[in-house]
Amino acid sequence: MRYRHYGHTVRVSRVRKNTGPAAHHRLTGVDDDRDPHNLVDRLRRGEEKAFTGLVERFHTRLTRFALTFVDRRELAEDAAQETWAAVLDGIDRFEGRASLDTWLFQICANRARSIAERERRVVPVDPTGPTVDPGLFNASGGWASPVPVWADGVEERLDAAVLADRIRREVEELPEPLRQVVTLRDVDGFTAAQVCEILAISPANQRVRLHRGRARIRELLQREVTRP
Amino acid sequence: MSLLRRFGRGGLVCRDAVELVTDYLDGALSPGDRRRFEEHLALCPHCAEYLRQIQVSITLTGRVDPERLDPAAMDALTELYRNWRQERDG
Repeated sequence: MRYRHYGHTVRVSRVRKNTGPAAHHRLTGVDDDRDPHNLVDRLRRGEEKAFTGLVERFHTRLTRFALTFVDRRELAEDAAQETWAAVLDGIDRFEGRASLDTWLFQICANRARSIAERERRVVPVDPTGPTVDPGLFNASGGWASPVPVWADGVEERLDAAVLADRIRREVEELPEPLRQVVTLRDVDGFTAAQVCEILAISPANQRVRLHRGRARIRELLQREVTRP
Repeated sequence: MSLLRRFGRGGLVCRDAVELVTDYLDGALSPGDRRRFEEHLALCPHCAEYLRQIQVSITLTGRVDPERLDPAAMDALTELYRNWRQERDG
């Protein structure tokens, strides 16, 4: 895999376009147990460890996120790398209107979208329809048969590594609009408001996508739990 | 849109209740809808179980770890940082 160096060619002004009125929420995330401005200050001062710490924490997540916009791994790597170049380019202008991690993912979403456009990738549409198989309900809308009960702590009894692997693969197979939201919310731990900012989507759309994705993962687990 | 408008004056049915789980967990239901949802759960062990299963799913999804960082990527990004600092500081 190749890595390029971008110097100062990435324009941050384009990247920040999507920072809408929702962007005024509190600073959280990256350095939330300390002063979040501290990390930004250390980056500005040229403290290499502040930067490599961020890279360690976020680079593979950014790449995984970028892969929800582009089809090829190396394009996702490009988007992630361009994100870091844009971060350095814009760090002196970073005002902390969004948290640093939200900002990172916003930039990455914009970079990845540009690459996807350049590659003429078709933007996938959100799936619609019920999230639970309608055949499971009777004519009056009640469950046709009882929901199989998962024993208490059943998740602890399954092989954690195997389970995590199955879930990862299920998440990877979700349609992109669902995968973006499920990954940001339930894997990376962003709040609903942050996900709306990162993806520039409405709160209602965020919840619809998230719910649909979660229902798919629940179905997978249902199969795992009831596996003989 | 209010659930009252969507579902009429009767109680929630299971088919509709399962679609509200994420709105419920995100605190996005109106007080009235929230009450109706909770009333339904109190009477319907199956939907209560469905909610619990979604919560377990969320917990388990949170255990999916990111991949390991490729050392080549770290090297390239460290160099990017050093170049940036050098250019900036002249």
